[in-house]
Amino acid sequence: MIIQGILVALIAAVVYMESRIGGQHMLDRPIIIGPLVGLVMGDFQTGLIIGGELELVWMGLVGIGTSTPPDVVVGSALATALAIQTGADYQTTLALAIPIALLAQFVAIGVAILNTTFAHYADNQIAKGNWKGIAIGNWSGSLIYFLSKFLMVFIGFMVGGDVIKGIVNHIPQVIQAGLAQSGNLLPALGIAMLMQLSLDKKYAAFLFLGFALVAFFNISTIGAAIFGAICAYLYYQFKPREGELF
Amino acid sequence: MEENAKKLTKKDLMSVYLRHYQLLGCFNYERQMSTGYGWAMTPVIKKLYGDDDEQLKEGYQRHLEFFNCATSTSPFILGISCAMEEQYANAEEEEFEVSSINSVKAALMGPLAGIGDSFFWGTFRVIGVGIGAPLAIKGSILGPLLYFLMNVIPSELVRWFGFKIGYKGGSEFLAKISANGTLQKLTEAAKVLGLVVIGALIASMVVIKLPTAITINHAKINVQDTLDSIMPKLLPLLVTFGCYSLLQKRVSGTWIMFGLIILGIIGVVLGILK
Repeated sequence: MIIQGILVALIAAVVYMESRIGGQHMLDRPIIIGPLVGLVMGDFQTGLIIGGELELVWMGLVGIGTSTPPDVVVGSALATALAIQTGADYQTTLALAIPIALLAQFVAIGVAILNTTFAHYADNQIAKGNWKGIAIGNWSGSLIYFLSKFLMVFIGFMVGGDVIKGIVNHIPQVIQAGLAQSGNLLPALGIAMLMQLSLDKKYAAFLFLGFALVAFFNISTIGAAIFGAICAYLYYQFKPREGELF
Repeated sequence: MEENAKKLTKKDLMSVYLRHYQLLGCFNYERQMSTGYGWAMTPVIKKLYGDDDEQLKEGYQRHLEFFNCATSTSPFILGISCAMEEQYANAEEEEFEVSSINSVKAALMGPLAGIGDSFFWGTFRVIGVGIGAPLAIKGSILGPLLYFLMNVIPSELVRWFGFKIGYKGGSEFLAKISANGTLQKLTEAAKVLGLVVIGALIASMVVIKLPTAITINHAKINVQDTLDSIMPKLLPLLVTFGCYSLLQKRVSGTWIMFGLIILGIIGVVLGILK
């Protein structure tokens, strides 16, 4: 159990560190963390499915610029692990993941404040002629990031199981069914958050094109992406440059 | 001057490129990526000014200035910084305005952050989720795999070629493609692709099913079929746009989330949703 806890915490922390010292290829997401946690918990398939479901709900939660969103990494790692451990279903997992991510968000904000110290440390050391100051500063910041995720997931895993079982057994049937329904509704919020990032009125027609393709013809997302790529190509080819007229 | 010209080797440049991956290592609210940028530029500063402590210190300090950009488009700026440092190290006094190194960084980081975010957060990642999540939910390992490839391959190409182009006269390249409108058109085209996929996600991912029959005055009405005959997936579209307009009104995502959960519970209690 302790070993499992350490492994789950390592997965969360290592995948997260890809976004700090690995170049940030958007890999610290439920769709990647879910299956990996499933693997250590001995149920790859469930981890894979929960990862996909959580990704849909949380796809709009991204830390663009300086904002710190609810902690998707800690939320998905812990919820997936605890769901597999206690045999809870996806709805319950979701009900777990949301408060965990909200709590962990505060820690994440704290770390980004704390790391200001190391930026100042690097500045001061260089001013004093200690050239190693930059490396020490940058890696100390990384270490704090690593430890914060590792400890949150490890502690959460060690104390979480029994608490979760207790709560799950007391959730009334109706509420559980309602949670299942909200699992179907919540992707709407994820999508709306994406729309906030990229929708402006000028391009709204393209959003409706994608919607209509699926709603009326029931094509797959890959199919829609291909139509989208064709639209993007046509747009690039035929939109006149600034000052050019048809 | 040609003989003892200070030249960066392939190895120096490769080292900067590999260090760009750690740009966010010490990310913080105040200085953001400053330490990471200094870390990435360290090999170049050491190489060019290693024999003069004062210049070495100034070099390091130049690259500990505030910096924030998307990681995917930062190598382009790093490439330019490398080329400019090389120029400066070989220039006579007064021949090269040293402050231009940081003004170029400052001028580029905003626009390139926007481009990086809209390409990688807003387009490739969205396609990755759109294709990967449904596969993962069906239990296929292809889901996370395709998501991974969709996010890693385009981004790696932009980093590598961005760095190369940046080093070989990046400022002129950027000035050219932004002056003739190519850059803006590319960004807009990426947005078009992203939006088509987002639209598709509304219809495929948001599931709302009403009961097949309700009885009003002894007449059975199949609500879902009636709605479908007006327009399939009308309710998911409405709910999504409802969330969107609440977000636009600055209602926090967390409250909307709780709202949707309560809506789900009420729906089941009243038997409207199934």
